[in-house]
Amino acid sequence: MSKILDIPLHVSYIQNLDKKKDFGYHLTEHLRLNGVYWGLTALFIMSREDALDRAEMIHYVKRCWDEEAAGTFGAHPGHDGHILATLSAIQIMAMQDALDEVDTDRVVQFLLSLIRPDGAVAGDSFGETDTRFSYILIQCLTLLGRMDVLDRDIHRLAREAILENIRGSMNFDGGFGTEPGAESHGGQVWVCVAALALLDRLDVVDRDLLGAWLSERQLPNGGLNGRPEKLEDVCYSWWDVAALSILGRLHWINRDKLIAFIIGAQDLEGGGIADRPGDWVDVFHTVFGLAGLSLVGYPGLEDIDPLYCMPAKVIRRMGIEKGYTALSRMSST
Amino acid sequence: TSSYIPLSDRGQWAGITPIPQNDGPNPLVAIMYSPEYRDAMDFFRAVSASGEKSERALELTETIIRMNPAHYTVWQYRMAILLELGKDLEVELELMNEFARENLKSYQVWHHRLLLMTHISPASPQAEIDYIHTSLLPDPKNYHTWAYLHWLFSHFHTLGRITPKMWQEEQRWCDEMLRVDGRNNSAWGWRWFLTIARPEAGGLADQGRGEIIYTLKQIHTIPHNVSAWNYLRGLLKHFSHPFSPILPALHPYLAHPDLKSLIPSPPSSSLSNLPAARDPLPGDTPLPISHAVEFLADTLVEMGRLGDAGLIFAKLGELDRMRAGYWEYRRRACAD
Repeated sequence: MSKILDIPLHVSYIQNLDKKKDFGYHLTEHLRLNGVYWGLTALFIMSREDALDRAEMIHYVKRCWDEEAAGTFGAHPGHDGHILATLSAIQIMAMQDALDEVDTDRVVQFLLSLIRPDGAVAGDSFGETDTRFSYILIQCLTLLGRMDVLDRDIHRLAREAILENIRGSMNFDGGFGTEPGAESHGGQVWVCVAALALLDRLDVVDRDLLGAWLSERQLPNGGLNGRPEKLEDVCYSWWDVAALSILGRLHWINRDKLIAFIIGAQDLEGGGIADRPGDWVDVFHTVFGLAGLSLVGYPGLEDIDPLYCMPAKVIRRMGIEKGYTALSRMSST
Repeated sequence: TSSYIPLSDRGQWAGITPIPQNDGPNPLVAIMYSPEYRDAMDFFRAVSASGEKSERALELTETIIRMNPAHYTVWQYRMAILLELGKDLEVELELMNEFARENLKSYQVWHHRLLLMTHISPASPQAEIDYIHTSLLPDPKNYHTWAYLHWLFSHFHTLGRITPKMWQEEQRWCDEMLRVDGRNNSAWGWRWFLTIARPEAGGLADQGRGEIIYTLKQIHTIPHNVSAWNYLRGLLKHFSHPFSPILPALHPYLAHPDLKSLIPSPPSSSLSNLPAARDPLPGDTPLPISHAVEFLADTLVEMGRLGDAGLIFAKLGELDRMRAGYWEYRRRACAD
């Protein structure tokens, strides 16, 4: 008996996320704003963005503003500003069409302060660098309509330095890691490919080599892993698949087997999607499972833009869409 | 009922008014805490608001990060206290070792370690290298650990504190990791860095021949090891070697009636006469090996025999059905 995607159940799962009185909830406080972005994006994919109160959400995002330390957003009120939270805040406000309520100049200053001389990008003043942050910086500036700052005279070297750091993170197998010398990993591949696409520099990538590496991530059970000889995980349904979409090679994986894998990872009692069939669900795997299904054309879902992991209709509205291929939406069963 | 004693009832916290979490009147994301965590966070807010950098504040940060190792705000504050109080950072490093033993993992634990090593700046990082090697034993593919190992060597190399002997030892260690598990993709990546990519790798005088021979041996041990095949291809591309001289060494993996007539005899080159695999493959090895068949197809493309290459790609579509889309792309490229 084949299962289907239970959209109403997943909508109520997301609505109930903040009502669960469990210990694990406070342990993820440092991810709270990210969690709101994951939940909202999942709702958009299911055409149910109305299911969470817009005004309340905007108010919450604003309360995450870290005025004192950084002049940007933290993961939750009282948490220090960090680039990860900043992206989630900007994405949420973009999806809620409330970007005019963001102090763009302050955020841009924060972002520029994170660029290191070698082009690596830090997450905050603590100093951890990672190509994820390079991607986030570029995506934030694009969403805020401020990519022009990288072309100003004093910052001109920044664009080249960031590009060279990403290029330097490319490995012999065509993939990308967290920094030059680090192992190729599906998540890092996506952020580097998306960053290069946003910079209009996909010429850096060997599309056939990387496409082949990405297609090899798919295991006999239909799921994808992040590196050779590792376990499949629903989140790679997004990272590997979105990268293939940007590279125009989405047909290099087996769509039907991937769909069956993601559908099988649903919790059909309480809702949500897990990392693999039978495991506990969480909102992180829920959004990436839904996004992966959308990208490969699962019926009844809204289009998702693989460069941003945001609703395609929002990206189009903002006039910042760039090229990618998605598989055509299958007609409803 | 819990035997937990609230911080406000403990003498050392006299005189501090804790600041409770204010989630607002109608919280979108209301949070329920355990009493211990709530208590600790209330006092942390007070402490960080006043900027107090004291022993009790340090102890408080440890309490919190033991319950939540990913709380980056608290990690940052902890580092600030350590530096302000001039604490012994080697003791802190030992605490991080304890965290690892207790399986408290996060990006922040690793970054904290990186900062500690940067501040301590030992004359030789050998003890830390040894520690990382040991920590990889139960968790040999941990991405953070390998990335940290790379940082360790790069950073201390920049400081001139990695001797040639240390590089050699590291290569021997990496060899052993691959001997234990030839499928450890992280170890293959590290081998590439040590042997080829790092600035003073030496530009192999034998044009990669030694590395190619090593990789072919690994392939013979585990023929379906994609990491080894990716490494082989990486070598050929890096040293601008043609594929065809490798083909004779791959015959054992191509043993299949459908392929026999399509295997060419390549022209001789600097890579000819590679040592043949000595032991026969285990009897139950499923043949042919798809990675070898793909290599054959790429060799035929290189030799300009596109018709034969197209036939091989069609066969791969049957052998490796999951990637039918990719094989069809390659087949069509040969037909055009």
